[in-house]
Amino acid sequence: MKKYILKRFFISLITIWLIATCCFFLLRTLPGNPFATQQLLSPEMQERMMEYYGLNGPLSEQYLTFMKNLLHGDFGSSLKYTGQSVNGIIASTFPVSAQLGLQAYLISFPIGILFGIIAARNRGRTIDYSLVAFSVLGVSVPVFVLASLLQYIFAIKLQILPVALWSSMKHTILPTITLAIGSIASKTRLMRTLMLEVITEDYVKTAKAKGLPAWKIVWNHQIRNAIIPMIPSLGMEIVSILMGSFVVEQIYSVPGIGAYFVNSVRSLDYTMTLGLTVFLAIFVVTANFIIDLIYGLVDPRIRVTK
Amino acid sequence: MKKALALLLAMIMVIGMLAGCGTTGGGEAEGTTSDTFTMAYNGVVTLNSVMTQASNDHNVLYLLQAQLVRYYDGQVEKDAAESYEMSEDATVWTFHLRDGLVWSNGEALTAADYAYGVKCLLDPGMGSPQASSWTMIKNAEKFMNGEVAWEEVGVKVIDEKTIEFTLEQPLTSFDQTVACKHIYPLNQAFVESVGVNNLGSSIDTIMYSGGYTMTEWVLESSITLQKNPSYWDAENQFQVETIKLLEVEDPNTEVAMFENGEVDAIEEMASQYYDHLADYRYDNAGGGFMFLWMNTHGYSEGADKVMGNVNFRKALSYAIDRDATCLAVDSATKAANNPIDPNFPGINGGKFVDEYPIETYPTNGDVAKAQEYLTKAMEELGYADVSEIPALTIVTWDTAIQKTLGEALTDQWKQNLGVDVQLEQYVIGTAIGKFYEQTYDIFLITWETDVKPTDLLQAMTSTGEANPGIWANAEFDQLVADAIAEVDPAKQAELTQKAAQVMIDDAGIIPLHLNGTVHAKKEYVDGFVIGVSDGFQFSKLVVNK
Repeated sequence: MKKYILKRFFISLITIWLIATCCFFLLRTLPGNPFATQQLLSPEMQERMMEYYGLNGPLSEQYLTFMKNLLHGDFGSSLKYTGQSVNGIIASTFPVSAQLGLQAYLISFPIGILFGIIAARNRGRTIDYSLVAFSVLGVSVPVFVLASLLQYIFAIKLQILPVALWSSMKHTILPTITLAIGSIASKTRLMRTLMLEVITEDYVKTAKAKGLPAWKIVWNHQIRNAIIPMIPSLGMEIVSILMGSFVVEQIYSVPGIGAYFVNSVRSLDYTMTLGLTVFLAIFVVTANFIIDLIYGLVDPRIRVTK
Repeated sequence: MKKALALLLAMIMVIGMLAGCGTTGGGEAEGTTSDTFTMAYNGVVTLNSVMTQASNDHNVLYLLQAQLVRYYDGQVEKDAAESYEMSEDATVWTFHLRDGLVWSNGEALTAADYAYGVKCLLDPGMGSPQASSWTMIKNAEKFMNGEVAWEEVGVKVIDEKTIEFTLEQPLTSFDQTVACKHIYPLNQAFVESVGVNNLGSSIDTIMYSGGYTMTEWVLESSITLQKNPSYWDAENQFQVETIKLLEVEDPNTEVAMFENGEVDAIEEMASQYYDHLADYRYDNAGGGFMFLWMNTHGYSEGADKVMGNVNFRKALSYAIDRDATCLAVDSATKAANNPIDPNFPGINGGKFVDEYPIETYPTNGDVAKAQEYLTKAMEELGYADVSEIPALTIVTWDTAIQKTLGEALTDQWKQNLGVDVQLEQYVIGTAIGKFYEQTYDIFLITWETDVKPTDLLQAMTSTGEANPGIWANAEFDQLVADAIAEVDPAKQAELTQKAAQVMIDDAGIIPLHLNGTVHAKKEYVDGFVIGVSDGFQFSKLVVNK
C-alpha cells in the first residue's frame, strides 16, 4: 500500500510540473501582448510596460523565476488588475465558487442517487419514464436557458427571489438549483443504469431466496455494488463544480473564479491565466490522488493489480 | 411512452402556469430608499490612478477624487481649483486651490499633492501608461526618458494653494486637457507607505478627496460608495448618500434587474434592448466619429481617376441618407456632417458647432444634388454612362454591425447613383493593416475626437497619424497648423472652422456619424450625467423614489 501511495504521489507531482511548464510556454506563443488589448498605447509605451513587468527578458529566465515563485506558492501579480496578486484573487473568489458548488453538490448527490434507485426499482412504469424524461431534459437543456427560465419565473413573475448577485442565502438559491439540475439529471441516469446491472446478479437472487426484506437487499447488496463505478466520476465532478461554472456565475453575477479564467485569457493576463491553471491542476491532481486512494480502500482488487 | 409524454406535457404546463401568474402591482425592490442609487456598470480594473489605462476606472475615480478641474455635462467645471489663469503667451497655467481642502482622513489637501500626482504619471520608475498624454508639459518627455530631474519639469508648487504648469508649446485649452486626461491628487507619504503598485487595489489603499469614499469593493462584482462629508462642497454636491455600482455581465440579467427595480440605471445597455427600454433611454453620442476615408489615389483598377475627382467623392457623400442609416443600423449613433464633435464647448458659452457652423451636406442626404455632382464628375472625366465607372471597394472590419452599415451604404450608392461599390470585410488586425497599406478605395472606421476640435483635424492632415497618405490638401494642413499655433481663442476658433469647412468641401475624409452609447435610467432619477468619453458626473444626482 505504501509503495502504491508513493508512486501515485510522484506521478501527481510530475503531472503538475508538466502542466505548469506547457502552459507557461504555450501562453507566450499567443499573438499580441497584454498591453495592446485595452486601449491604444504607442509601441514605445508598450515596451516600457513590458519592461516594468519584467516581460521582455529571455523567456528561460522568466520561466526560472516563475518556477521559483511557484515552489513558494506564489503565483505572482496580475498584469491587468494592478496591485492584485493572483493568490489574493483566488483567495477571494474561490470560496464563493466553492460554496455555490458545494451547495449544488449536496443537493444533487442524494437526489440524483435517490432518483436513480427509484427509477431502477420501478423500471418500465410511469415513474421510471418520467424520471428518465427529466434526466434527458436536465442533461440537454443548456444552462443559460434554464437559468433565464428560473430567473423569469422566480424573480420577475413571482418576485420571491432576487434576479442575481451574491449577498445573502436567498441570493444563492437560484444559482444553486440551476447548477444542481444538470448534475441531478446525469446522476439519475448513471445510477439507474448501474442499479439495473446489479438487479439481475446472482447474489441478489440469492438474497431474495434467503427471504431478506426488500430494503435490505437494495441497501446491502444493490446500492453498495452499484455505487463503486460512480466514485471516480464523483471526484472529477467535485473538482469541476468547485472551480465554478462560468455560465451560471455570469448570468447570476456571482463573484466567483469562473469569469477570471475566461477574461484573463482574453486580455492576455499571463500570470493570472497561469496561476489559475496551475491552481486548478493542483486541485484536480490532488482530487484524483485521493480518489485513487479511496478506490484502493473500497475495492482491494485495484490495489492488488497495480 | 404515452404516459411519459403526458407527464412531460403536464410538467411544461405547470411551468407555464407559474410563469403566467405574475404579480400585478409593485415592482420595487425592498430596502432601497431615495438615499441610495444603484447602477449596473461596466466594472473597474483598478482604482490606481497612476496605472489605470481604462476609462471605466476614471468613471469611478470621478466620484472619489477632487480634480483641479473636471468635466460636467460637456463643460469644464472648477473643482479643487477656485480659479485658474493662463499667461498671455499661453505657455504658463496657474491653478489656485480653494481654502480648507482636506483628504477624507482629515489631512490637508495641498498643491503638493496635485504636483505629486503628476510626478507619478511621468515617473519612468512607476511605468504609468498615461505618461504619453502629458508630453505637452515642459521637459516631461525628457523626465520620462530619465534625461532630466523632476525639478526641471514644468510643474511647480508655488505655495500650498498654488500650482503652476509650464508647457512646451502655447496651449489655450490646457484646462480641457486637465479635465479630460485627469490629474488626481496623491499624497506622497501615503503612496510611499502602500507602494505605488498596491495603490488603489482595495478600499484601504486609497485616500479620498472627492464626493465619495469607498466602503466596500469586490473586484469584478460590486462597489459601495458613501458620501464624503469632508468634500469641499459636500453641502451642495453629491447629495445621494450611497451609490452602489454592480457589475452584471449578462445583459439579460441586467435588464431583468432594471425592470424589477433592483437597479436604477444601466451603464451601456446591450443594443437588443434599445427598443424594449425605449422609455428609459439616456443617449450619449460623441467622443468619436465613423468616417468614410476616401483614398484619392484609388486602389481598384482605374479607380484613381474617379477617386481623385472631388465631385465624384461629393456625389458619394450626398447620396447617403445618414439619418435613416443610423436609425436602421445602430440607433445609438447620430448622423454627422461636421468633423467637429458637437459636444465641444465653444468660446462664448455655447457649443462650438453652433458658434462656428459650416456649410455642409444635409444629414438626410440630397439625391438630386448627388446626381448633379455625379454628372459633373462624369463630364470632367469623360464618361458617357455610369456603367463606365470602375467598380470600387469599401473595406471595414468584420463585425455584424459594420456589415449592416457597409451594405446600407453600398445599397444607397447603387440605388441613388448607380455606382457599384463592393463591401470587403477583414478581421480587425488585417483590416487595420490594409488601412495603412492603402489597399482600398474607401475605408470605413472610427476615429476618436480627443480633447479639443483641432486634435482630430490634426490627425487628418497629410502628415497626421490618422491619414496614411490617402488625401492631402495644403490649405487644410496650413489652416490646422495655424489654428493650433494661434493663442487668441476667437481667431483659433475661426481657423478651426475654416479648416473643417475645407475638409468637408474637399470630401477627403468624410464624417458619417457620431459614435454613441445608450444608457438606461429610471424616470425617478434626475441629474443623471455620464460623460461622452468618461466620468460618472453624479454631482447633481437625485433619486426621487
